[in-house]
Amino acid sequence: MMLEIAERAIELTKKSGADQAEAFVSENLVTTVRIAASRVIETKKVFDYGIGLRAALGQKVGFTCANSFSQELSERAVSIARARPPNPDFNGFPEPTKPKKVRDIYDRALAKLQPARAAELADLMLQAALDFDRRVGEASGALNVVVERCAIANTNGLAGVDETTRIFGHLTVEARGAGGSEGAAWLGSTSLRGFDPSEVGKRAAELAVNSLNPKKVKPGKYAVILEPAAVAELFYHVFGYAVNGRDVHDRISYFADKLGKVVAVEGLNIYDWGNMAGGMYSKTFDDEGMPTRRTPLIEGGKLVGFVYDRHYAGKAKKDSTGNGLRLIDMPGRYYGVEPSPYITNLAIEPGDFKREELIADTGEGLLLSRIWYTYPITPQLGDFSTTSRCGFLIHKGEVVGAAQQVRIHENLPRLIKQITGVASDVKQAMPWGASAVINTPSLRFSEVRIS
Amino acid sequence: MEIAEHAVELAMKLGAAYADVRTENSRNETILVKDGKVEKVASELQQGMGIRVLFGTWGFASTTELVKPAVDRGVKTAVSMAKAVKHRAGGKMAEAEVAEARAHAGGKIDPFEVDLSEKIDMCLEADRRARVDGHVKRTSASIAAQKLQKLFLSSEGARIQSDRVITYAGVFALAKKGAVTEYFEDLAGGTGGFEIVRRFDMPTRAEDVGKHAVALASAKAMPKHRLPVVMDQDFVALLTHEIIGHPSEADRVLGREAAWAGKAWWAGMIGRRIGSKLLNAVDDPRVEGALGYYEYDDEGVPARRKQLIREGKLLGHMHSRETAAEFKVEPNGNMRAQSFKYLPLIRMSNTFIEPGEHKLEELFDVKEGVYLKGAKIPSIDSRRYNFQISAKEAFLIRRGELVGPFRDASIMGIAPEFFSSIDAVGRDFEMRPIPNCGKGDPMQTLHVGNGGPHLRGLALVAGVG
Repeated sequence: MMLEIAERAIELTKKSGADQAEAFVSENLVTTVRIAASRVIETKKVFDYGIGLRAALGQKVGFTCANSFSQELSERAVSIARARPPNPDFNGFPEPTKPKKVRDIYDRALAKLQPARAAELADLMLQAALDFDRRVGEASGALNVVVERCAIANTNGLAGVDETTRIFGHLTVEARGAGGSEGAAWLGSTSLRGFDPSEVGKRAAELAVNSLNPKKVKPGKYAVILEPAAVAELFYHVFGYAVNGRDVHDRISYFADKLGKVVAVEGLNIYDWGNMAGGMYSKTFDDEGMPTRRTPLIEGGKLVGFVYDRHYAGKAKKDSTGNGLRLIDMPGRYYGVEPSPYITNLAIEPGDFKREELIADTGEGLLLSRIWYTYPITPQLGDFSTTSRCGFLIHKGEVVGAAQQVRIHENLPRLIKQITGVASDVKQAMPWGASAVINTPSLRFSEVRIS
Repeated sequence: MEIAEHAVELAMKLGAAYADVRTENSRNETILVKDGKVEKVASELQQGMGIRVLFGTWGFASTTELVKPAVDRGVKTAVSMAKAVKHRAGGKMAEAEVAEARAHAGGKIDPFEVDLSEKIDMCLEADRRARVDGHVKRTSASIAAQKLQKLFLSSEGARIQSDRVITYAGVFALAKKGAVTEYFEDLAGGTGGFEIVRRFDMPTRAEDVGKHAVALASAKAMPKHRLPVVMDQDFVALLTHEIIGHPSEADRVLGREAAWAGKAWWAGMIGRRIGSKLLNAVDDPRVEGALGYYEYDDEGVPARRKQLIREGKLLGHMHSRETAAEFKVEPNGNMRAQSFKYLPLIRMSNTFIEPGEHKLEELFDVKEGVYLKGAKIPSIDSRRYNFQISAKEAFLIRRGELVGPFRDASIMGIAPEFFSSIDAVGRDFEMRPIPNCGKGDPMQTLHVGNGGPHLRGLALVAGVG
C-alpha cells in the first residue's frame, strides 16, 4: 500500500511538470514506557505517517511533505522547483538497485507488542533493580519499542519497501549510602527474544551500589579505561560528525584533510555497518533507496573513509555509502526531511584483552562506566568536554573503589593516538537521543587530563 | 474543533479521570544556501492530534490522521496505554484556571507571503557577502519560518485556540589560515514575522561573520587563566539556559529526569542564598517577540512571569500542574511539547538574568580579565553544577583595554561558586533565540529564549584541550 502511494505520487508529480520525482512514505509506531521515582509515570504511543516528495526540473529540486498524499502536494513540489535556481550539485535520483536482505532487523513479535506487555517489560527492568540490593534507591528510565516502515519510489524505476523493529531499555538507579551514587545500564535488540529487561535493572543497580563511598580524584593525567557506554557517548558525539561526509565537506570535521593519513593508534579499526545482521540501525536500503553496507572508516589506524549520502558523495566525487537518512529527534525514518548522511551502527573492532586483564594491566588509573553531556566544544579541533557519572579508581591493577565526579577536557584526535588497550568485551550502547548505535569494547587511553 | 471535542468525550466515557487533546496544523519553510548554491528549498505541512488521559498514570497517543476512525483508535490506544500500568498512584494535578481563549502572535509581515525568490536572493546575497576574502572556505545563509495553529481542549472545559509565527535567519562562515580553521555564525529568531529577517540585515551580518571567522583563524589560542570574566549577552544567554533554566525545571528538581537530562543541585534549597545579591533571574513566556513566547502552555495554564532567583536567593521553579501540586504552589505554565506527537514536559520559556545597574565601561574596569563574546557549545554535568561553555571569541582585558581576539576559549566553573562571584551586572539586556533545547525520552527539541545583560564573575578560562 505504501509503495503504491509512493508510485502514484511520482506519477502525478511527473504529470504536474517534473522531469524527475521521488516519493518517500514512512510510518512509525513508537511506544515508550517511562519510569521515574521507581514507578511507571507515563506510557505513550506515537503513530506518525506521511509522505515526502522531491520534484526535479533539471537541477532545480523542490521538496515538500504532508501527512497524506494529494495532487496538490505534487503541484507544490513542482512549483517550489520552478521558483528556485538550479543546484549544480544535484546529481539526479538513483537508478534501481537490488539491495540484499539484511538478517534479523524485523521481528513480528515486537511489531505486534501490546501496551500491557511493554509495561510489564518496563516493570521487570524496574523490579530487577529494586530487588538487587537493599541500598538501591530511586530508579528512572524508559523502555522504547520502535516499528518503522517505509517505501520509496523514483522515476528511474527504483522501488522498495523496508521494515525494521527495535526495543531498548535504559535505567538509571541511585543507591543510598555514603556519598550517594548512581549506576546506569542500557540494552537494545531488534527482537523481543533478544531483550532481557532484568539484565538492565541488575546491571544498573550493581553499578549504583558499587559506586557508593566515592573518593576524590586529584587533578592530573591518568590512564583511563572507558567502558562501552562511555565509549559510545564519546564516539557518538565527538567522532560521528568527524566521519560524516557533510561535516567533512563543511570542514567542521577535524578529519577534513586527513583522508589516507594515520590518525589513530596502529591496529585501530572502526567502521560503519549499515547492513549488520541484527544491527539496531540496520536497514535494507537507505532513505534514498541506496543499498546499505559496511564502510571502513579507520583501518589499522589510517583514515580510509567517510559516510555519505548521494549529495555529499557527489560533492566529494565518491559513491554513496548508503547512509542517506531522513531523521529527526523522534525515532524512525521520517518523511518530513530530505536525506542527509548519518552513521548507523558504528563498530569498533575488539582487541585481545579481557576486561579484567585490561584493568590488571593498567596499574594506576580510572575506570569510567558512564560519561555525560559530551560535546565537541571546538568541533573543528576535536576538543571535547565531559563529566563522569559513574567511575572507579584503579590501584595496582585492581578496582579499589568508586571515584567522585571528574571533568575531562580533552582532544579526541590526540586521544585516539593514545589508545593503549582494546578489550574484547564488545557491547552495543546508545547515548541519549542518539540516532545510531555504537558497538564497542572498552578502550584504554593514556595521559587523559582530569580536572 | 468537533473531532477534538469528540476525542475528549470518548476518553472520559472510557473512564479517564482527566483528558486533554491538542490538535495542530503547521506549515514550515526552509531555504538554505551553501557556498553560493541553493542547497535546500523545502515546504512542510503537518497536522495531527495528541491525546493525553489520566488513569492515575498518564497515557498518551498521537495520530497524524484527523478522521474519526483514526481518532477513536488514538483515544483507545491512549487509554489502553495508561491502563497497561499495574500500579497507578500518581497524577494529582493542582487546580488551574479553566481558560476559554484565543491567542495570536503573528508578527507584522507574514513570512509565507514574502516571495520565495526574494528569500532565495537574500540568502544568496548574504552567502556571497560572507566570503570576505580567500581565506573563507565555507559559507551558508538560511531563512526559516513556521506557522502553527493549535487547539487545546480539556475535560475540565478549557478551550484555547492559538496561532503563532516564528521566523529565523542565520549566517555562517568558516575560514582557514595555515593549519587553523575557525568558524563564526550569527542567528536571529523569534516569535514574529519576516520583520525579524529584515531587522537582522543579513548581508551586513554575513560580512561581519566572514570578517570574524578570518580574524579568528589568524588569532592565537586563549591561554589558561583564572581571572575575572566579562560575558556578553549572547554568552550569558547560553549560560543562563544551562545553569539557571534547566535546574529550575521542577521535574528535574524532583529527580524525575534523573535517567537522562539529570537533576538539579539546588533541590530543597528554595529560600536559600545560591549566589551574589546582584543575581536576579526570571522565566517569562510573555516576553513579546522572544522565541519562547506563548500565552498558554500545553496544559492550558496561562503563561506567567516567575521570579526564579531574587538578589541571589532561590525563589521558585517552573512547574506542571502535577509538580505544582507536589510543591503546593500554583501552576505557572511551563508544560510544553515539541508538537502534538509528544507528551508535554516542564520546559523553560524565556529564561534570563535581569539587567543590573552597571555601565558597560564599569564591567571592563579590571586590572586583568577575559572578555567572552558569543556562546558556542556547552558541557554541563547532570546536576547542572559543574559547567564548561566555549565562546565564539575572546579578548584579554588589560586595564580596561581589549587585547585580541583569541580563539578557542571556554570557561569552567562550579555553578554556586560562579553565581557568588558575580560582582557586576550591566544594564544592556538582550534576548537571544535558542532553537534546539533538548529534553525527554524520546527527545523533544524546543524553541526557547534566553538572555541577560553583560555580567562579570570569576571562572577558570581554559584554552585548547
